[in-house]
Amino acid sequence: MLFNSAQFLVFFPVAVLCYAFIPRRLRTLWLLVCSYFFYMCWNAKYAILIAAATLVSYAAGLVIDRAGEERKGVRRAALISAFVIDLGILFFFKYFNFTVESISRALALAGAAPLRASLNVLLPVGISFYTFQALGYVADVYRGEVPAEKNLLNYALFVSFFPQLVAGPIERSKNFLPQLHDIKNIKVRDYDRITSGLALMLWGFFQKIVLADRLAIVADTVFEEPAAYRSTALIAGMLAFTMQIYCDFGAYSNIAVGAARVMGFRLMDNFDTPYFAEGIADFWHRWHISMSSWFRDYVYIPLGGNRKGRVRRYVNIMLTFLASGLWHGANWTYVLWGALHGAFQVIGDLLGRPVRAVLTRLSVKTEAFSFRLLKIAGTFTLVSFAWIFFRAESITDAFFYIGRIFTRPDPWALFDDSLYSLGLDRFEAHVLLAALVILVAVDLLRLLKKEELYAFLLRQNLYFRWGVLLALAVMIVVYGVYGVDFDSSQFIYFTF
Amino acid sequence: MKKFAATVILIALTILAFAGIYRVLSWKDTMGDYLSSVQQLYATDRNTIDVLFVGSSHVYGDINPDVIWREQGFSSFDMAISGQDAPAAYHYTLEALKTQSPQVVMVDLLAASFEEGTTGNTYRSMLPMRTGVNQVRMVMEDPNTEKNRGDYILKWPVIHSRYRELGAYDFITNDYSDYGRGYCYRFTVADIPHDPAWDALTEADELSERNRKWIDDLVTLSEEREFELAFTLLPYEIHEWDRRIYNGIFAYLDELEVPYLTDRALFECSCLDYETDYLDFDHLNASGGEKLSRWLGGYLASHYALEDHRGDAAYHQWDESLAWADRLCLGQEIMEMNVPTPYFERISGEEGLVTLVWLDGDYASSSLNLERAGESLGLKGGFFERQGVAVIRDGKLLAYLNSDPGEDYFLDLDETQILKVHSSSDAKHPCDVFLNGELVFEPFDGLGVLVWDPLTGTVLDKKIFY
Repeated sequence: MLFNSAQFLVFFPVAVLCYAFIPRRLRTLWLLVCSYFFYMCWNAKYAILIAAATLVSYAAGLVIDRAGEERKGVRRAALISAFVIDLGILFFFKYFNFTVESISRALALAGAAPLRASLNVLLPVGISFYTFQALGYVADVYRGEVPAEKNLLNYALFVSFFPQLVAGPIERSKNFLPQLHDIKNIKVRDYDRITSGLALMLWGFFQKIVLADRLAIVADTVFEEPAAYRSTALIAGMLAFTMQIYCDFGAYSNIAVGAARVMGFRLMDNFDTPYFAEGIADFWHRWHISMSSWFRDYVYIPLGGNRKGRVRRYVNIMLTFLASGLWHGANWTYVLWGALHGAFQVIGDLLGRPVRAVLTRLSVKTEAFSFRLLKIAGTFTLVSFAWIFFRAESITDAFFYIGRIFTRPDPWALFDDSLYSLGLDRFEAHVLLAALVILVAVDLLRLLKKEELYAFLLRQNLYFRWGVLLALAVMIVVYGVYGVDFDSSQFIYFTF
Repeated sequence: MKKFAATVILIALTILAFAGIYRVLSWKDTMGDYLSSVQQLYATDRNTIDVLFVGSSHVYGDINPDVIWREQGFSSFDMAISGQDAPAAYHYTLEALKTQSPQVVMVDLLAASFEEGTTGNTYRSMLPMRTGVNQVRMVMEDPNTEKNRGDYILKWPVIHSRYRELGAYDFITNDYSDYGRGYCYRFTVADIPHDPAWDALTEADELSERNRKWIDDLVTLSEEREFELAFTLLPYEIHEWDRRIYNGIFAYLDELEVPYLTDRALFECSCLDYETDYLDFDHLNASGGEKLSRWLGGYLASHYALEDHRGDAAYHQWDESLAWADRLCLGQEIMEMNVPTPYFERISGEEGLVTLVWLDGDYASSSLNLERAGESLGLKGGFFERQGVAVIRDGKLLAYLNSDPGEDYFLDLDETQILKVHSSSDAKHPCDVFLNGELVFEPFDGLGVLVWDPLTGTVLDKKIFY
């Protein structure tokens, strides 16, 4: 079930209303039922996989807890078993074909016969998210940061909580399990919290339906046939995808956080104005925060982090970003995308000191707005460039795309209206621009005032607050990209 | 309590806002007069339709309720939608029966020739019908909407993207009764080469299950709702494969003893002519429609006990429709006139017309007797001895432009149209005429005229007399 589906518009109010009025002791069970129903709407059979990941990590947590400090071998065995089983399931469904294909290519290069094995399985939605959430819990128990969860219902809900089940945020056990323990005491009918959650969901729908899906039209048009376009259109396609992925993913997170908030739960923030980052490291503190902090806590730091010298730190950064890239998808494009981000950070660190020396010598005011703006622009350019690898079907396609950007200059395209042929006509392009202005305004609000849109609105007069919310709602239902695409030209065949 | 009240008010405001937006975005027949016959049906007073004609463009192109009203005095209505398929015909009959109790329902058989899975104009069928059980059932039975049923039932997911094509008629509500009783006037004449090869074909296909069910459902409905059911096959260029289907249906209708009128019977009884009465291969033009409707009206009057309602105020919509139709026909008539005197006499006395007359040259001494014709329009005091542009409405001179070349004259014609006359010092080119900023006429020297009609909201004619 997608958030932007009619099903969800029925499911969510029903789930919340029942949750609000059933006896408190049944709340966990009700949300668990809702969560499994939510997942099973996509594919009922694959609910077994969540149940398996839940049971494995739940059992591992109990074993680690009961083994105590003395039986380190048992603790370690439980930890490793949980990781092997859960990552094994993940590997089987997500990476098996990719691995076989990659080995076959390598064999072909060496002149050997390719492997014949391949699996015809559907990738379970959200498997990377709930697997990592479950493994994060096992690691937390192993480190003694949280006690093992004894209540299976609580734990099952922790893994499968429907707002964040299929696309995160990847919740941490120390943040979310205590909230589940306290579920009976949640004041469900809290007007301010509910309206705040609903407003956040509304903003998420705006990001998804008005912005992301409209940007996707441009990005898809260009990325599907890069050979048909020259530099300007290719850059427009790259920028469209840059904004699309932010709006799409940011929207999902906002709807998830908002939906959880309506029910009285606090999920972690996943995006914090990432395109205003002043460096790649800063970008990763703002982009998909739940995932980047997961990799920091459970990969980078266990590898030694920055505690074992400069070279090792760089190696750790690269390994972490390669893993992060692979987590996103079973394709070398994602690996290269991760590698690029790792390389950006390593190179940035290497150049940091000499660049600072040059800037000091030139008396550049590094705290000035103009310099910070330059850094933001530079970071945005690097991030956008890297997204080409993320969006392209293959590495070859990505290099072809980049090659054309640099070899087919056509600045006149900025003036001859040809950009209106990238899937959005003039009117649609203006709708998109207006929506982007709203997005930037809301992000600036967050950047400068450190507050959400609704928190800002709460400080305003009622007419303004309602006006903004109504305007957002109207923009979503009118300008949203959804439903049967109405086109009068479809009438032509039956003019009479 | 305060917060609860605020929530209720916000929800109410949201509903109001969306209701207003829906009204604007709701589907209008953007290919026609921003109306559909469904909307005209909804705007028709309850229980005023005596005979309901159901079908596709063949119905709204061939059967003219205005002619039937004028000739026979019973009220009829074309419940017709472009490309209407069999399920839509059934459900729209049901929809009409919610507010009307026709004595006779005549369903055209064209839909029977549609192949399995072929649906007519989905938007036109699905979107104008009011939300309800009947609408949901129609959507559910339509194979074309299989993947988007929810969208078509809710309508909003389909119509919301009309924001790209909004126009004046999305904001201004038409007076539906001004736009006829479902008939579509088209005056174009096409000489249709007719192939008589298939006319006499008697072989018949076996009736398909789909068509049998359609006919059975309509027969059952006629029994339940107590109306006389009949079928028509309106004349069009029918090929062998369709003729076989229709022959199969005629055989079944004979079996059921349900009356029907074949295309050949209608053609011959109406004395239609392939050279003058056709718009194209599929439809009659206004002339053909007049002939067919005149005969069909007589047929219905002689076979069913239909009352003459002329003069009854309850049937005012048919009178209004006739007045509207007369204006359309007036436009056609004057378009074909090339002599100014009878032209001016013909339009004089027609209520509400806005007429622009311009001239360059002395016509007072001509043999055309323009002074008398001009007077009938409201042009007095030797207008035809002067040069310039006269703007006349309802026999009154609104403006006379000739003193200040370059002068602009503006007139609000109706809610949506503004007339602008830009007079010029160029004797060869006395003025430019604009409607809503768009140049509609650029007359050259001589005597010229432009006639705009408020009833139809159109320019009926514009010409220079030679």
